[in-house]
Amino acid sequence: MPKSRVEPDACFLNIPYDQQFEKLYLAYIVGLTALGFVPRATLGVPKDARRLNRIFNLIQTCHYSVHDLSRIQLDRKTPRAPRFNMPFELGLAVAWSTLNPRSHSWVGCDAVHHRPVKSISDLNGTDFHIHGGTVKGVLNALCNAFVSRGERPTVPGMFRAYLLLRQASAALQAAAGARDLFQARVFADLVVAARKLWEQRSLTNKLLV
Amino acid sequence: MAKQITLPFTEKTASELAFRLGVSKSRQKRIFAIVEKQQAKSTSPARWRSQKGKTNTAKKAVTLTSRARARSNAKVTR
Repeated sequence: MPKSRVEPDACFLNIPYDQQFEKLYLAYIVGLTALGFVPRATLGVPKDARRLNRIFNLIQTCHYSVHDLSRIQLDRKTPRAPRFNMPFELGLAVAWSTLNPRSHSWVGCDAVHHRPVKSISDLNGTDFHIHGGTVKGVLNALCNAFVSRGERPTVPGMFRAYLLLRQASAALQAAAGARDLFQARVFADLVVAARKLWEQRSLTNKLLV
Repeated sequence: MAKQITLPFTEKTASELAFRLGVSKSRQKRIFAIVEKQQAKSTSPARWRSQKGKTNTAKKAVTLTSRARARSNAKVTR
């Protein structure tokens, strides 16, 4: 497999794609863009035989990755099975960062304390960031996980940007003609919109000072 | 304590980001228009003026969603 070029500010976002996770999905986008990241996700990666290669390639191109294991419970359809995509992609990232510690760092998140280490005991000794399943929790977890060298974004500031992005998301979804927000085009639009919102917010704050 | 990572890079502008993500100029314009409209709405003085002088209960009622409003109405009729 050819070695990919690492993007220093790209962050691989490993989250579940379902409507119940929509608020936290938007929170991750706002939080990561406010911290200066370019979020990347497997949305848009075709579901063919080469999917795994493409996902691994995507992880390799990102210097950072965030893995949310808060929704790996059994699904409702029979036969009921846990959702292993997120832990599997976490495994790929852990392997890649172990082999290349200079070119990849990963961060784990969950809603409940001690649960990830209970379900993946191989990760004992690694502390996960706990968000409690809330938007502010996610923003706080991202601020704790990453420290920016420049201006540090505040959780209330990011929360305001999140509220605006949530209001704008319906229009962005309609403009893309998508049935939900978990589509490659909507994802890119949300990232750009979040960046613009954050930019304007920072500008307003500077004018007020 | 969970691990903490110090970021070495600086932030990109929205236009730079759009270019990098392959978002076309026209799409970028549309996204910016949506964002600006949303921001204008949230900071519009008319929104705050309309709330002025109202009681806290009335202010809360304005923010209720249609479903929540229907639910609260249903409680009154029961």
